Amino acid sequence: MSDKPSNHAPGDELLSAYLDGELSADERAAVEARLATDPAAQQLLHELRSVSQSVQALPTESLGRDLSEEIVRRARETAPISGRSPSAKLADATEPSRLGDTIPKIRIFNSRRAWIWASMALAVGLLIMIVQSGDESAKKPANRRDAKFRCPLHPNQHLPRPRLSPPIASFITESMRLAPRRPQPSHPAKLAADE
Amino acid sequence: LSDDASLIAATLAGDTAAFGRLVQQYQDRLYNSLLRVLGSADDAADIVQDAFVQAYVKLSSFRGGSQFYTWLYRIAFNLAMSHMRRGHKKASLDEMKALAGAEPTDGQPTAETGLIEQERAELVHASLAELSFEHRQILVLREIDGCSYEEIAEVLDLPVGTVRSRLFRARLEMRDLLSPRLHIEKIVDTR
Repeated sequence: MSDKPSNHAPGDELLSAYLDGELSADERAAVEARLATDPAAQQLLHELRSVSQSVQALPTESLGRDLSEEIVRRARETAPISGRSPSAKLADATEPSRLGDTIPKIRIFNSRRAWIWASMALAVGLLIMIVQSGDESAKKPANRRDAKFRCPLHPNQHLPRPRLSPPIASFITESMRLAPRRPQPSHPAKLAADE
Repeated sequence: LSDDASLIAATLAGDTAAFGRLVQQYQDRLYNSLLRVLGSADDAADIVQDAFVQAYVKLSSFRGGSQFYTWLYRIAFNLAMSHMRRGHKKASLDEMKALAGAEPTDGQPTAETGLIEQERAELVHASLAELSFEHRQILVLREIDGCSYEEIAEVLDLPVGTVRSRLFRARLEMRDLLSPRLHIEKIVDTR
């Protein structure tokens, strides 16, 4: 970093700020007292003033053209501030065609292995759902169980509870036994923090 | 309300022409500063445009606690720093000479004072380009834009004490670069 200490006296920095009129009244008085008796401080102040004047004397350059139209056009393309409601902007951002352009396509079912794993995951999911519903049916009143298996198209029509045939049940049990164990996050909040 | 505040309010209300007037008001001042910081006319013009576009996008977040140009400069200097970090080179010596002042093109003898001024500007610009980026930008903000220490602190997101010490060191570095070069100029001057 360029702000490393130099071999100048601590008060030398005040000379630069004195030049800029950026000192408190006490600091200014101290600098003026030093300048009255210290030729080295006078010399440094002279050099700092010369540097300052040299840079200030650089010619002022201008663009030579008006950028306003171009900038406003670009700015409106980037983010129109007005004339559109936030919901309209949100609708733009979620247009299917745009989503199709921006979201990468994930090709997870291109291999046979992927299909096998997906089937196993589905089977495990079904088993968990059934086991949980069995547990709940033992604990909860009957009307809750009925609600769970109500047909969405015909709410008044009650559906029979699904029963697993023995071969399917044994396949699911076998799948669970073969499925590799993966480390589970201890807590969802911790997982979010790790990400 | 100041002129800037009125134009900002009008822009936020949907009057994009008001933002155009803000651009017209500050584009040259910003360009001149970025030119000295980046050392390249093309890069400076690009960053000016990008800074104004970003300012437009973020305009609703401008609270008015500071001057608009200080806020704009902060955006622009951040962009300039990113630009430099991406490895863009400083301008070539020829380009710096061109930027320091127009060279005589008609073959006619130039007035001695004009020549000296032009040479001095070339030397100063070349020395400025040799400073570290941190020193160059703080020197430009102070000497070319005339910003106060408080304004520099706001643009560069530094404590005022750091502004004071960094500016002092930047001037020392500039003095060390200029001294031998201006000594050559002194010889020319005494002819």
